[in-house]
Amino acid sequence: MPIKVLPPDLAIKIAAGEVIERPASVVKELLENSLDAGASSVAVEIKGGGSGETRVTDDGRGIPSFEVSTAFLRHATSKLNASEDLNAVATLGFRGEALPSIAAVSRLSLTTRTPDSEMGYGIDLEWGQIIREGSRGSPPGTTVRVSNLFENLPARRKFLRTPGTETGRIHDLVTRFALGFPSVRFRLTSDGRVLLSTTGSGTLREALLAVYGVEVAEGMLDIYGEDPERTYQVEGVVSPPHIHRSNRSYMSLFVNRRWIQSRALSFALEESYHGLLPVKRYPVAAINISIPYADVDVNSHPAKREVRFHHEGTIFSTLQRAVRAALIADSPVPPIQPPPGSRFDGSSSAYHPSSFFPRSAFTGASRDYPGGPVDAAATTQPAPSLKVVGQVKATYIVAEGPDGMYLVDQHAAHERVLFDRIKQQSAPARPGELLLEPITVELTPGQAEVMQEKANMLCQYGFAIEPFGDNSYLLRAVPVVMTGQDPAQALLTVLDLVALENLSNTQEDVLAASIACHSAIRAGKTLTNDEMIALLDQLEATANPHTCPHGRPTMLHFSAAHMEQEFGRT
Amino acid sequence: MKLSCLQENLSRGLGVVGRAVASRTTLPITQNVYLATDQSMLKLSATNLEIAMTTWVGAMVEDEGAITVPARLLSEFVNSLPSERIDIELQPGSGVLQLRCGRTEANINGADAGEFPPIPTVDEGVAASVETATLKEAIARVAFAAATEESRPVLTGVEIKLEGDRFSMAAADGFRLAVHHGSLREPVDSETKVIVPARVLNELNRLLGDQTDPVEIMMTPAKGQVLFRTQGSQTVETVSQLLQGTFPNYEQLIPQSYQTRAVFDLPSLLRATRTAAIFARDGSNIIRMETQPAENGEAPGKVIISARSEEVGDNQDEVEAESLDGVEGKIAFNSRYLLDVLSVLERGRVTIETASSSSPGVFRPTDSEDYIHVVMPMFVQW
Repeated sequence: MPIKVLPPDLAIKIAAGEVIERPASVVKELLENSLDAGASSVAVEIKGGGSGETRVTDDGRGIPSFEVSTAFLRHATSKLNASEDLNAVATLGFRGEALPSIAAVSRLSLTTRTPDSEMGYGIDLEWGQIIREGSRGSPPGTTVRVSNLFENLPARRKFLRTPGTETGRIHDLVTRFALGFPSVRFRLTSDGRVLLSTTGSGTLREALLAVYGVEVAEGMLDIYGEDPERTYQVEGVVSPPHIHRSNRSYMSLFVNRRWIQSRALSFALEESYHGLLPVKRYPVAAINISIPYADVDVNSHPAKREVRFHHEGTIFSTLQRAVRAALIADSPVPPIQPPPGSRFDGSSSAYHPSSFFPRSAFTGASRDYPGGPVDAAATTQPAPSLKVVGQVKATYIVAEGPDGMYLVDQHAAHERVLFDRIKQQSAPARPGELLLEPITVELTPGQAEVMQEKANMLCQYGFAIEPFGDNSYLLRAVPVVMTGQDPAQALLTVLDLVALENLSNTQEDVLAASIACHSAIRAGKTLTNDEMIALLDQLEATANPHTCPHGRPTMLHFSAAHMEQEFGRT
Repeated sequence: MKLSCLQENLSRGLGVVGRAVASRTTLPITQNVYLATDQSMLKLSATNLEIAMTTWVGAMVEDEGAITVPARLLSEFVNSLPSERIDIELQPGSGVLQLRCGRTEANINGADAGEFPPIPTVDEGVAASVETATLKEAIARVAFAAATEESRPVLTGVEIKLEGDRFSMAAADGFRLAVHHGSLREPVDSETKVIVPARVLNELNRLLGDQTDPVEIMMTPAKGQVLFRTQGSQTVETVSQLLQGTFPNYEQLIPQSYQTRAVFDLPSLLRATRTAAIFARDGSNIIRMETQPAENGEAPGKVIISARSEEVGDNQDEVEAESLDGVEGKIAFNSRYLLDVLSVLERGRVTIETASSSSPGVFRPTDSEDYIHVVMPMFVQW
């Protein structure tokens, strides 16, 4: 094929792909425009996860009618004038790409009115072509409505996730804007349901209240810091050590109110909590760093998610000092954390069992979660013989043992029993129970991958599965321990559990542990006395009764001596 | 409301409807029993919203009225009374039920009858009548095969089909299928199919006890309800919600051919299976059956029943067949499923048909075409 210059409509489609990846990108670009237009209230309405319709309404400055069609030309912007301006970008957007990019891949309709004009102006575009424009009635501000997103880019549309996932991304995005701009009122509705609504009062804490709820909003600590030359300011809130989350997505960092992702700054923040949080727990934070516009380069990525700093080290240390200072001021002695691995992980309530029962009072072979199945030979300590006293919260069995009281987690205990039973059955062929009628199971691509990888092993454990075209499979048999459940659901859950574990882990234990976990009685199931006695008997007979196959403890021990001490009897 | 009745009648009535009283509930009034005068009877009703039971107790009614009171309290109180006349009175507007029996007197705080969930009435639909013994046998042979977990709701039910002067009941839990056919006392006009929760049928079976009067069945698939009216010493109406959905087309699951067909004396086979189940318990409940035709035409042949567990040990048993045609075969079953079907057949002889170690086994009583039970085998290493 000869080399030729691409026609403009194709070129813009390609360029649009960089800026507009998914419905959330549309929301991001439109929100940035609204905020750059000085809006004090922005409403985002989405339908079908944003691929149905996205509407962003603001009360900002609006666009003068004679500029409206220019706004849809490539590289048309009101935010930059000369190339020197690029060295100090004060607005969120500046590339002049958002509107034409969105318009190129959707049906777009924009209505706007500046406060001083009497009449609004509207424009409708389809796939980048203006189909009508003219005067329209409109409140001050701008409304952009985007529908049929990516309909002319079937390849991109195919890669969209489920509406639920896309809604989640949009929700996350609007949340960050709400935290970055507490003085702007944000409202997000999805298919008519309000997902987020902030007051726009200007206080970060009220925005936090709307986003993370009252417990977090109340507990958060204010931080403030600046470098010696006072060029950088760090301001925001961080969580005290007793509030923490299982992943990093609760840490929001902003540079000049622009939400950014920076490994270095996240690391700096986590480091500030060194020794204060349990392993693999992360703080909640919303921090804005004010930097002279010339000291930060936001033009390194079309979506502007990553930025470059001129003096990263200074910012890094300013942030750490500010966070550390707040943490130390809050509590010179961090509150006692429950021992990791104990089932009292709820934390954050005033009741910390660990402060009543020192660590030595807990038995239980492995306190830290090794993350994977524990070698059966790791612990050889036999289980004490236990007498059932009762059940707490339909989850824990209270039992009396040779030296005091034991609390047994019924799910973990049963999981261990089943795991041992599955392991005992002689590989390579464990028995399966054939189904009266085979069941057709639809797998997601991820599940299908696990399925292919583990086909032999699934078969050895008693599943009988045949391909049935595409991602459909015929389920013909299930492991004997799973006969009490919905067979299709059992298979799907096991596939998901195996996928969660390390896929490269070829140990068949993963599969056995997953089957055991899914088949075991759940927390919340009321057990009869006989059932509890039988479960404890079976647990006693297992090789490693103190932990479940995933390494969590099955029982906690409160020694008689310790109880006497606590009651002041000694 | 003012009436008198006999202690033993009231006690029996409360005992019957007490089965339908909700035990754990979010709607506290369903823990009450509903009392109302109904012509010259005292009507008692209880419901847990899935099943509703109503019965009538003979009474001398002076003033009409209705109230609900805590079922357990009333029942325990009445049971403690001597076998004499009980006078019951409700002062209008007081909400307190007064009971007097001899020198004993009690006041029970009730709740307004208007708050009680309406007891569904089934007054139109397809009516049928079945002999109690026939119905009891059908329930006993089928209901146990229904699923107990709720993930596929239709499988927790029993499909009842009325057609001409016959009825059929079927239940399946994904691993086994039980189908029983029986006779109606009179033909029905139109073919009707409904799915009744197995729990309700088990409750009905207990209620039927040893009474002999026929049971009337009234089905209204349109309203999603079925009513069973038993006469006996007292009339009891049991109304149940039907399960919505499509029951599997089970006819196609019943194998039409076999490789091996053997007839056994049921008590001998059941004994051997029970023995094997003891050893199967610690394994994976696997019972292996090896059918061997006789070699030189002497005896008909035999089945070797065995079980083994890695830890405990193993056992083996031989049962002579009364007749056996076809080839030798090996098949493994879950001991629970095997024991279930052999236990309900109980007496006489059983015919077992198998085709291969991965095709379903078919069990039926040798002397009757009324019952068929299909059990899927387990795939195991031999």
